[in-house]
Amino acid sequence: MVFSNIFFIFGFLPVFLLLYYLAPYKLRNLLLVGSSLVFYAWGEPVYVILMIFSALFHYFMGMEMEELSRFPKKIRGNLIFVVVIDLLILGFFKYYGFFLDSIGTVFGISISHPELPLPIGISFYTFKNLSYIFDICQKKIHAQKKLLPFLVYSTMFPHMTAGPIIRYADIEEQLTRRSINIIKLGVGAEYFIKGLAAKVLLADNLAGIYADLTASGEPLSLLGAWIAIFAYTMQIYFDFSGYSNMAIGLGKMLGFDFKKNFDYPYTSTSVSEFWRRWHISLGSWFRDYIYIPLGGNRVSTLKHIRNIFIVWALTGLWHGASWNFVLWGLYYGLLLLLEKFILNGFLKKIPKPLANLYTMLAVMIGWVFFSQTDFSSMGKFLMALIGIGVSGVADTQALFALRSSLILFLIAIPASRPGLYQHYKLSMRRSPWKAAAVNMILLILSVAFLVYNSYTPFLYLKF
Amino acid sequence: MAYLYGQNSGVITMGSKKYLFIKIGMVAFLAIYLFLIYTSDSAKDIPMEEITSSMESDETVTSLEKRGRTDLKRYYQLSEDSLEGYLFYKAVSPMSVEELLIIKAPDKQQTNIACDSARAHLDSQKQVFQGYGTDQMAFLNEAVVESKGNYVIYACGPNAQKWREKFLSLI
Amino acid sequence: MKKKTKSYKYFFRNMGLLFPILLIVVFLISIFLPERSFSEKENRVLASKPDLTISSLVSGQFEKKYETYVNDQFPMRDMWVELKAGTDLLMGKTRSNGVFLGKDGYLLEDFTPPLPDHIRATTEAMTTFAKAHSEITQYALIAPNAVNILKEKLPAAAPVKDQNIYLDELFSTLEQNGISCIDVRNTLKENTNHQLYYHTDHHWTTQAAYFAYKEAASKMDLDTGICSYEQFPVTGSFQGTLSAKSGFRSHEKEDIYVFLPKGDAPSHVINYVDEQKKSASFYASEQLNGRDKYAMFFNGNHPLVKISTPTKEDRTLLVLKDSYANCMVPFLAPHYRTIIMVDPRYYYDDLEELIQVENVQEILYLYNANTFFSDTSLEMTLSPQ
Repeated sequence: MVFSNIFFIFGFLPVFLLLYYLAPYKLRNLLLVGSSLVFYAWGEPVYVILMIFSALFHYFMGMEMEELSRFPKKIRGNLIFVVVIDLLILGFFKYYGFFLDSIGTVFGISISHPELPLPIGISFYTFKNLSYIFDICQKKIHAQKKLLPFLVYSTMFPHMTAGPIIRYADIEEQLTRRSINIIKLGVGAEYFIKGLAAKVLLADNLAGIYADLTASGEPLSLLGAWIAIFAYTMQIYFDFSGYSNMAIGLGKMLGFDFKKNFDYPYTSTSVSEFWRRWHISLGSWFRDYIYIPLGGNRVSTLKHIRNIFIVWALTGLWHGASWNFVLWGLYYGLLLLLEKFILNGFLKKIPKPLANLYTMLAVMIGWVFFSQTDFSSMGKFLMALIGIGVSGVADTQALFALRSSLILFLIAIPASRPGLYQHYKLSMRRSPWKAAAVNMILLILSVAFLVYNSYTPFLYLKF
Repeated sequence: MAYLYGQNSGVITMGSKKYLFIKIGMVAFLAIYLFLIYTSDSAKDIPMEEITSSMESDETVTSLEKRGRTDLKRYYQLSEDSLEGYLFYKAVSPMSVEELLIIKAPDKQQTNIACDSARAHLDSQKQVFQGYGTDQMAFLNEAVVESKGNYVIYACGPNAQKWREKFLSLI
Repeated sequence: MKKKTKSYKYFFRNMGLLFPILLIVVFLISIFLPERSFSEKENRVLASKPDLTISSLVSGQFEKKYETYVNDQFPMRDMWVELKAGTDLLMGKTRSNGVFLGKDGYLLEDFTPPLPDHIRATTEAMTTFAKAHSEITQYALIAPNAVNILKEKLPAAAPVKDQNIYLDELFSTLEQNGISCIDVRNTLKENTNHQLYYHTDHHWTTQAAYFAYKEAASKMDLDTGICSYEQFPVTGSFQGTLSAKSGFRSHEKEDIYVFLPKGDAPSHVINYVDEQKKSASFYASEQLNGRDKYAMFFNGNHPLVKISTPTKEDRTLLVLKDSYANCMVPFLAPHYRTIIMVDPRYYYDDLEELIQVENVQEILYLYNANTFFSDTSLEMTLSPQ
């Protein structure tokens, strides 16, 4: 099941909320776990078993880890065991085809393998469960001895399918002790609606612009290439941040407080800052569990550079089982190193809008790597952006796309910056009914778009 | 289950034995689960020509009339160029429901479409014969519509099970 | 400070009330609302509740079908679709689902160039067929679409491929192989002061069909003097396929005209062979009560229709067609004792046998370019395997 879906919004959600709010306090967790299993099984009737397995596995391993806390050697052995199993599962579904294809290319043979459908959210819940084990090993948390609260952490539907990657430490208390009231419900509703509107009204339409320009496979014009990559840049932001907001909103409705996952990343004045604002939960996961254990930047410069490249190659690989994603990751690794050692002072001195422009250009080029799975179309696109191999400066395709998307772009740009929202927050205070009406209008418009489309699945869902 | 934090070796043995069992159990479960998933929908990549010649060696198949793409379109709304190959035999008489269709699709999406078409065809056949063809209804109720890997099979008639088993053994 | 947080609270309290209420109310309505089986606006059958079986549940089919069912049966579905279309317009969208919103209220369907393999297969089938039946005179009238003739009505910068290139090539290939091409582009371009295409539908008007008929008559050796026509509007509330497909101009209604012969009209018998029905009129006025009013021409599309007219000369014409022919064939009827209309999309019988039995002397391919270039059924009917 997906959040941006009529069945979820007007079927699953009202029934669930009704039960959850009417149920006695003690039954809430049971209800939540049960509903989450239904939610997941609805989309993946066979793979729900895998998700439950992962939850139970980490539950038991977490307890064992804590018992072995005085035996570092045993902890290490156990940790390796857990990581191997998790990577095995992830690898089996996500990377096995990629692995075989890559080996095949190296040796010039073609190894056939059946195509297995990817279980929804497997990258998210595997990383989430792993973070739990890692935190126990690093003695940051105690293992959860009761099964039910752990299942709540591991399977709850708001962040199950597409993040954010919630750390156990952040919600430990809330697992067994949280309150719900109409204010929180309202806060959650506001988050949910703004996420839904971002996804359905902005992201999906921007996706349409990008698709119209790139679907035909014909060469783009210079203008066309820039419009396309700009549309993609905005689309992926609203898509992913929208979904995260919906997840946070649903959490609030249940009484949970999740940390935000996106903090206006397109206002960044450096790539380093960008990665502190984009997909925060993933960035911090890699930082805390790979980068710092490898030594981070507290080692020799050479090792530091090595660490950066490892982390970024893995970050890229996490996003997709294909070399272009690895390239995307390494691209950012390189830029981050450049900024750290060379550009940093310079960036601080130039005016902020210029630094923002530099960052956005870097990010947009990054999205070219991200969006093109095969290297030849990637190359063509990059060339088109600087005017090589284009069908002209502008062609009818591009002009038509511009004309069709102008208003969309004019809405998208301020929507990606804090100013608009601050403005709207003022009206929340001054005229609460008007602001509520605006929200409901956004909800209604989103529903209209959802009814019209057969749904456009969220980009990150199969990660 | 009560346990004490590692005080002496006795506790370690007790604790780790329990977890050892759990680990072995879970790994075994995982292995079986993954194996089942892997094999359930996989099919060997056999070209349609091989399947055709193998199935055609059976007289019960060739006793029916071989059909072409027009009939494929007419009965299954499938166009031959959306497939990687097909084998279609149907009885000459419209009163008979004996029929064998095997198709190989290029991808999972087409496989699902073809499978839906085959099911729809079975439903419409049932509607046609409902009420007056008891023999035909019997065959239709036992008819096989299955997909495995990128193959779909529709088999109806006294030899449906035999055809199905032969086909599955090929892939 | 306290006052500030308090006001935020009012807003959130409002949201906390409105949001679940809306969800629950819509949920309840959707449960108690009776199922709709057909959508007039979308011209398709709406999904009904899927059957629950273990295998469909485990495979995920049931879940997908159920979601489609919920979507299709959503209360006031048509209103939501209109709301979306209206929002699109505000955002500056002028193309939806392959349909352009043009000037003067015209909706124009985009032209998709044919796949080289497909068009080659079709023309080869036609030319081979022509050679095999060299004793039968063969004509092809492939009519241009609005996106071609009414180019200037397209929105600015509309990226549309030029249909003429493909038509030119098609006509030259066919002519070289013994099929006479009736090119109506010029006569239509000269008459754009008349309404040649519907605003909301992909068909041409009866007026345009009449101009095409006049052009065809000169090639097919027909005396247009034997019949003169008068125009009558049969409806003023026609809403076509394009407004449904795109969501644009969904409230616009327009006229359909029929051209009726002045004076004594010959009597025709129209035999709908598959349906085993006969009629004395080309027009099925019951269709004017439904949404697809264009279907009043020959009651829609059929695999095989035979028209018998008591003419002096015994000429038999076979028309291989799509729906554009439906408003043009009535003009041809007074010239032929027998006209056989075959729609290859629905016809699965033996064409050769039909030609033999009916003693066909002339064949006319009568299509519109958009359909012709994306069609694969004609090739299958001409060369069945």
